[in-house]
Amino acid sequence: MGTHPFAASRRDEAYERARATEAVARRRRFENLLERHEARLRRVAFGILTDAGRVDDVLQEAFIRAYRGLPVRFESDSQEAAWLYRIVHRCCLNELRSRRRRPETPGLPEGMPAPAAGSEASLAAAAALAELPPDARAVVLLVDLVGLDYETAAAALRIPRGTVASRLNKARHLLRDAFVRLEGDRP
Amino acid sequence: MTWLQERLVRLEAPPVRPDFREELWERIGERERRATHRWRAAAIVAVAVAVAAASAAGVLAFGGVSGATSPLDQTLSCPVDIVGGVNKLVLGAVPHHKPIWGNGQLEPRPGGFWAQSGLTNTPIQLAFVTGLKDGVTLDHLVCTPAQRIPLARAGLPLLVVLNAFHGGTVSQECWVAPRITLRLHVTFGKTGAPIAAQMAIRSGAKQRPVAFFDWTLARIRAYVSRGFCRPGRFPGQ
Repeated sequence: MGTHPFAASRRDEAYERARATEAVARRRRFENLLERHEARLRRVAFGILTDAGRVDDVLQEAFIRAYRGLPVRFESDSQEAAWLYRIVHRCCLNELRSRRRRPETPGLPEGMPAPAAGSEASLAAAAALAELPPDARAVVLLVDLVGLDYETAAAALRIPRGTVASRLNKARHLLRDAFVRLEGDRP
Repeated sequence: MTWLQERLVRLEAPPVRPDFREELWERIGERERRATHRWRAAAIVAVAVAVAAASAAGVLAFGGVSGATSPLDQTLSCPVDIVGGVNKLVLGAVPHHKPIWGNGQLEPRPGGFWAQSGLTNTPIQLAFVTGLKDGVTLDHLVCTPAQRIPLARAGLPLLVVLNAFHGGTVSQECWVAPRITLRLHVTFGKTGAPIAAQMAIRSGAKQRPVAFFDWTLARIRAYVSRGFCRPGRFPGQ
């Protein structure tokens, strides 16, 4: 007769196997989530940070938090989006706070390739966004760039729907002025 | 699309670092390991504190069980972890076998049964009974006292009767509500080792019967709900 079934080693073995299976399933679910959202999350993070060199680090931190807190299921797509954007938004705000404590020149780090075609317009957009306060940036990016509805944006930013509307109105005005100043263009 | 949106959508995310994903999974793995170590350390500290407190008071750490000769009768409400999207309760039992020689000594092979919650970062043994001294464990770290439930099979069908002669094991996976109510009654022998025990488990606020185990040193009777439970893999197989 082999090891008794109560032996700790055999129990641990079974637990480890089950844990490994669970980890694989969880990782697959998370990869799937990233595939659907990552591109837009990157743009939002860049829009809030306006510093290309920090986007990867901030997104990594956000994704780690997301993975560790990944719910078993979401009630709806908008709940999933709100949850994910909230984490990225919080991480971006943390980064902006720590940047205030250690001021440094924003820009691309050494060795990073320059942004692809159309980068001039992109940099202009980033420069215009940089003139907005962070809370205004976040709301205009979530609604006008990502296309979230007011309720989802409100859930993502943990603010009332009315606050989303008022912040968005203010942000649009500020952004329009910034674009006009930067481009010398008019709507 | 408005004039403003036309300009805003020109915003391009910077290129992804080539090793972004690899680094991400490395960092996730590292963070998970650190969290597990922290959890284990906290659990060890909690157990040590409980043992110290129990020793000082002259009682037992886990549920006043070890070495007791008066019967133990406790009802607890316990959370059940989610595994693969369901709250998974794992039930198991083995009958008593004669000791065998192993590693130069006689290794006892007592029978017993257990109820275990999920299999997430760290599996939690909610209740564990075996025929050895200090052979009862009730997890008072995650479970809280609850109103008593009947210690009866409550209409559950008999799954199997195990004994030393015929051998066999019970291994069931039960998909239950996020909380279960568990009542454990244990009778101890003169040595302080359990000689008989019954465990009733009910699911959720409606307290639907899930399982009832009736254990003695000679045999185990397992009654399990076919609605909640299905055969699972026995640990180590």
